Amino acid sequence: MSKIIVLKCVGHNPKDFELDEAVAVQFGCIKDLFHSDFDAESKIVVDVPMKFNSYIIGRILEFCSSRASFSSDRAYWEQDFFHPCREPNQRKRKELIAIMEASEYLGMESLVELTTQSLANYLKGKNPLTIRSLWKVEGDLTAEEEAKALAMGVAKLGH
Amino acid sequence: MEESHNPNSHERLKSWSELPSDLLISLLERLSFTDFRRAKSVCRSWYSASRQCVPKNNNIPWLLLFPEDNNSCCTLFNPEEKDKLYRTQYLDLVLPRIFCLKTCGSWLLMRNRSSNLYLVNLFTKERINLPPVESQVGTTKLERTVVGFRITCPDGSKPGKPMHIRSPVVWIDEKTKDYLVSWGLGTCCVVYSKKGDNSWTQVPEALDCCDMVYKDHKLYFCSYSRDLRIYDFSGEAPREIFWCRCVYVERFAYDGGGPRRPHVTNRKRLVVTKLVVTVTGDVLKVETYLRPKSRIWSFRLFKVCSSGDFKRVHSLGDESMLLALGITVLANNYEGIRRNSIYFNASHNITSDIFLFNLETRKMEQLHKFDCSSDQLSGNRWFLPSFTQAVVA
Repeated sequence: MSKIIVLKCVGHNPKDFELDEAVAVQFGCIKDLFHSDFDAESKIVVDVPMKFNSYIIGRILEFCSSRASFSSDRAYWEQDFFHPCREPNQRKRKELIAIMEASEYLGMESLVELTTQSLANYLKGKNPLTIRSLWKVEGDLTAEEEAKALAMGVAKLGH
Repeated sequence: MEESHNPNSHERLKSWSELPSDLLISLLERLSFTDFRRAKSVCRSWYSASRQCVPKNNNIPWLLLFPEDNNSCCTLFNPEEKDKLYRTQYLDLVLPRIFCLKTCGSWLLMRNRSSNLYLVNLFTKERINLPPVESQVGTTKLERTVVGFRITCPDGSKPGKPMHIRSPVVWIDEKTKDYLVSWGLGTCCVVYSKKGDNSWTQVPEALDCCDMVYKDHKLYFCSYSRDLRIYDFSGEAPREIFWCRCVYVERFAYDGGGPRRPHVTNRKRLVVTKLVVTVTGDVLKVETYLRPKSRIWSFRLFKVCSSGDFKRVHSLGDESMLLALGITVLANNYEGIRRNSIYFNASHNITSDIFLFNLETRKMEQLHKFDCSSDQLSGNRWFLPSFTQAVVA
């Protein structure tokens, strides 16, 4: 008798995810739907934009069901989910960014918080050169602009 | 970049520089001051995102290293960036170490050759002169003579001891320039001066100052005559909010040789007692011990309870103690500061060596080997620089 929400993912690997209430309420954009007046038997279909593919949505749902189940291993599981202890490779980093964007879209603040913090942690203690080479970002600032960005009002002594 | 035959790739980001700017901003805002500065210089899109971030200020303690030669600028050391050293811009700002008494934010409390005090901002060179030391409001009189100073006690006696500025403390608000400076006038009393005062006001009950700490508008005072007092300075006049009688506080013994001390044993000796106020407002008494021959330092910490008893403390937990500043900081917030450790100067003499005493292993380690052969360093002070005025937009 409980309401069912279906997340419809299009794109490369189209898939429909059925969410039960416990999971669906974690999505800010969806939980309002539960309060509206509709027939308990019907399904609500939510179209997910193309850029969030089913793999990403699947990962998010994994996270949510773990949350919903209040398992005691949650903290450990969360750490593993975001692998902060290892330097993630390019694919994992992209995944993290995609999860961050998708959870922002779906209104899952806690997940946005976690992913953003994980990403910020990867930037800790790294100088610009390292960041550029690890994450394939092109350094398009001129030498002058870069010096200005790094400046603090004190000149640098030595290297 | 070679794209693999991944049908999803057109949906994914090609690189981090294409991160949506609101997410990028949220990411950059989580970084520490140093990391933020480094991240914003990575590329153009990150730089423009950084300009929309709430400006971050520095809150990690830095070390200010004084040059031996007074004509050079000071060197700055950030424990989070151990491989770099910074230098102050103003070459004409003369800051001899022996005259830098204390720091607060980017301000230094200095003493000049005629024993007058002033405040100077390390980055802007702004200077605030303090009242001449002989301008005293209270029962103890201080006169300036040809040879130095003469103190006259309330009972009329003139102690032969020289005028010492004991355990000076300073607080200043960087924006309003509201300040408070306080110090122990020899054995007689504690004096203070606030913004707008023309003289030093005395606190007569605070006798024989051993050490003081000023934090959150409260002055913590301990004396050699076993008093521990806390004054609240948030109002017009200081108000004593706590007093207790403590266990005997041993006097500082000078680390000198000489005819009276022909043998230097290696027995552990109490060198100095200091007061430290923790992050949570607990008051700690810190005893510093030295084995003179092997130059091994160790510490004993005691927490002061409201009844006046001392309870031995064996661990600082997640906090880290900066003994010279008389405070603890939460080490987890900073990469370069170790938790459960005491950062201290290994000598009263002119040196730049900072060591840390690890309370878990009870061993000494050196903070950093300053490899400055050309610039000899004559000493150091911890300070908390605020770079808001100095940041280039």
